[in-house]
Amino acid sequence: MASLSLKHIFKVYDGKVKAVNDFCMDIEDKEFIVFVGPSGCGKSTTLRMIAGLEEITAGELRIDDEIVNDFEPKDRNIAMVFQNYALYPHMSVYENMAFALRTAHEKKEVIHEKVMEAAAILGITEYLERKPKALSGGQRQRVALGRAIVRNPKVFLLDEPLSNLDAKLRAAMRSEISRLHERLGTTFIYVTHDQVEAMTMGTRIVVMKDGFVQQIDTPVNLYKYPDNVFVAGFIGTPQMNFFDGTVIKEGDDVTFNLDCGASVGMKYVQADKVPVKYMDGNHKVVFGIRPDDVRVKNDTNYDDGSWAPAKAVVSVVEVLGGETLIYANLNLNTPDAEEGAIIIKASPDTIVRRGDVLDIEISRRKFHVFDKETEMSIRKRIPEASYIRANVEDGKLTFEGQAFEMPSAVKCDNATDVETVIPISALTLGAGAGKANVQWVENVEGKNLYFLKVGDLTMFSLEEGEARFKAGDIVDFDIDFTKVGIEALGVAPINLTNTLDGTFTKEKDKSRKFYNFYMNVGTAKLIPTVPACEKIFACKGSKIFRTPLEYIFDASVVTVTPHEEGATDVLTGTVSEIRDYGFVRYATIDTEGQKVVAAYDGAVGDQVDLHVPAESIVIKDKSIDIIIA
Amino acid sequence: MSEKDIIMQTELETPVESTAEEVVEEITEPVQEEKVVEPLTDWSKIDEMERQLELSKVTIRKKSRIGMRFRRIFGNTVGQVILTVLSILWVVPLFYLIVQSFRKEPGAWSPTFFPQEWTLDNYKRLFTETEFPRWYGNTLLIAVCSCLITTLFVLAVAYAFSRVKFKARKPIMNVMLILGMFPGFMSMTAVYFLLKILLPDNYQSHLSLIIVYSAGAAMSYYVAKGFFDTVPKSLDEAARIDGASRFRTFFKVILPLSKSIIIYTILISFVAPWCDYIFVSYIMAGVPDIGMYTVSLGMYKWLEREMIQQYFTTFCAAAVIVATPITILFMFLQKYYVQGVTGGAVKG
Repeated sequence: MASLSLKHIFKVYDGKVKAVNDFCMDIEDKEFIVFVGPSGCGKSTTLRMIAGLEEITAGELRIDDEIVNDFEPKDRNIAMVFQNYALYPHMSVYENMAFALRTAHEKKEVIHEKVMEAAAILGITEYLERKPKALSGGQRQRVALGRAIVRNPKVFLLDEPLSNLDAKLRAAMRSEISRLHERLGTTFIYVTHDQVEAMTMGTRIVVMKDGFVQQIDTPVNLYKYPDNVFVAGFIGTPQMNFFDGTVIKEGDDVTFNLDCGASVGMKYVQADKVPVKYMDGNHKVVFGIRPDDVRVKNDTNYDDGSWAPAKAVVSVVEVLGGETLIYANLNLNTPDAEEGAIIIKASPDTIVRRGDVLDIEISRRKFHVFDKETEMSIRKRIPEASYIRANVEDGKLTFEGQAFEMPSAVKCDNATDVETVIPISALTLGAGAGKANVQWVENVEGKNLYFLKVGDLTMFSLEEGEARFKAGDIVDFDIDFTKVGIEALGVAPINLTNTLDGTFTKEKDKSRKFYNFYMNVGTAKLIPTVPACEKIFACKGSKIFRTPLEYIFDASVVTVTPHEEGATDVLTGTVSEIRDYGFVRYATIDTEGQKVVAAYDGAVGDQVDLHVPAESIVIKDKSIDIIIA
Repeated sequence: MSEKDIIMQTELETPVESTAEEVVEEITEPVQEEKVVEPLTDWSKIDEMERQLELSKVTIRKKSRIGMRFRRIFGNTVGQVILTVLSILWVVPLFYLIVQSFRKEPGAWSPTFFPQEWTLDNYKRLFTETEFPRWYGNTLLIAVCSCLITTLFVLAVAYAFSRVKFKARKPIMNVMLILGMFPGFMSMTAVYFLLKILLPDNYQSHLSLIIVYSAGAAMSYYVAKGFFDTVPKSLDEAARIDGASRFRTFFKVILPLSKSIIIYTILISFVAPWCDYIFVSYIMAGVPDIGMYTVSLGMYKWLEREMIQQYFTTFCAAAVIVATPITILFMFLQKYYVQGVTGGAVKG
């Protein structure tokens, strides 16, 4: 029974090969977490780091709020089941299960009791005297599980435990492990490359690729709201259908023009989560639709306007009994081409043959859109921002009949029809100069996502807690200009994350015989915290003194005071710019040739000291780009 | 009946008139199936599979079954003849030595291969009139002691090189490999003087010999390391998670699985001091008490010009006695040389 916390976990081999990149996750007690991804994605490495079989290069691993980075596996209170079971071949099943307890010098009676209990749970009581050699694969697997159970661990780690079993047995063991999880009430972490195992067993799934976490979510959410093309393609069988294309918005109509020649049309409301900036007919997008969300047109089908008609020519038909998979192509001239290929999950009664031209319908609700270049979803469950075309006129931002006074910090020339990005967190409801019509409210994991009809467009706002407004309400809204970006006019949201280049140095204490360590930024010296030093040396050793570093801290942690001569542990600088947003004033301060942003109420030209609490500074190794403390 | 057996039977039951291609099909198809489900660590099965595949490759090349059979018989005959000749050449000197040890006529040279009169006197004499029993005891003591130490060293070093990753691992392994290429007796003089420093009063002793035989023994870790490399690392990891120290893992998990390599190492490290002549001959050179000698040194004395006439048949008897324990050891333990032991350790 344990919670785990992985903070910025990195695994670097030979100082250059990054096997695991910035793995961050909080695992709650009794969760069943599945790491899934193609081979070589770093899932097993992560598991082995949790087990303590691999050293953690950088980052912090906590089990039950205790940092266990330097703990031996046995002290972490974990148990692991290996892919090849790793049973001790010369010991009987009983001895295999008792080995850990014997090592811990448990009493004989206790050992016997625990082994018998575990054996009963797993139904291997009658094999206890056998050697692993005399067991079948499934039985060995259970012995391996039993060996883990007797230790009564806080966390169960399973490394592809079913990959050596045949398909039928695998399905049986799958449910057995799920039941075991239920029964033991322990935290499970399970590694697999099989997405079916992941989907059926996990309470949450971590999809990984090339050492990077792609998405962490529940099985249903991964299926419904994949973050990128990789996750969309990896989860779900048959795979999601992808089509390259463009989107265009004409009045209230939105049309996806696919490169294969087909097009999918819909109303703007149905695609309003896709940022308008993509709807110009130029941006390359990837349109994705699951085989389940395409249907063969049928007179009895109920149509409420959420199905877009299309035509496809049949290439191959797979009759699976319970359902029929139709491999077709949206380009009627090229049934076998890769471009335009679409898989349709149809009812088993569907009788089609190769070459048939089918009338199909594509869901206007359950489609996915990705940016072709970044491969990231642009129809996210919670949109990142509202993208609008606005005018700037004498310090006022106007769009769709709304007008907002711009603070003096956002200085720009007059312009018309410029793209303006209003992040979802910058739009607050309840007060302000804007008026919007609440179209509807979507509940997303306990948060309320408001769809606001502003003139012709849909804008978004996110609030936690009880929904304050309901569909149909007219609400006032305000815009937080610190976060607004107008690229064409050079207006960028203020970057409150300060990054300073620096180094790490040691100096011998004059009077005594020990070293003082400093975080250097130019000539300024900041005193690091002891845990930070420990992490730094654990990760880099003495190489740290030759490594270029980045010190990262948030503007909110910085305290600015008037300059004092002889102050230590501070950064000294001159205010070069003040940005006044009305409710807050941010100063840009030049220090040691670099810039720091912090809230400050003084004037340009002031000499100031910046106090940055050492515990809130994140230290990053610039040479291999990993966070080390 | 295992699948392997079924395959074997299929092969046996194949009707003679079936073509070679059919045979190939029947043999190879189940073999491929077996590949998917059988354990990779059961080497005997792998070997069997390879043999089958090899066999099927051969069959493919042959046009007709008759031609194949002829070639096989011809090849076998030639092979057998060559092997027979070789083994006769190999065995004759040993056999000569054995029969000579039962010869009654004195003298070094006998005009006949077989003795004219048979006797057991040579053996009797060996144990009653000579220092042989003491030499035998000395040698046994030295060999057993250095064998124990050597085995421990070799296995520990091999295990460390196989499992522990440390910076100097590769360099040390290379240095050992290169050093191992020089013949051991090159270090004779150095060893002699080092012993003199180490044991100033007592350097011509059995202790010196034990030290000499066991000190550098770890150099021959290669075979054992190769063996440990085949023992799945996940066993070590499982033991580590189970809370076992490296020491406990080595003794409780790895060593019990390594019977064959332990026996191999014991045999090798027993035979080396048992048969060594070079090191004994100069370390023990000039020791007044002949009883301190080992068998090889003592027996060699019998071959000197003034002794050989008197002692040759005794020498032969001694040689037989010396060879007996090793022969027995090998006869009983040779199966461990080839036995795979990890069956069931991993997936099967």
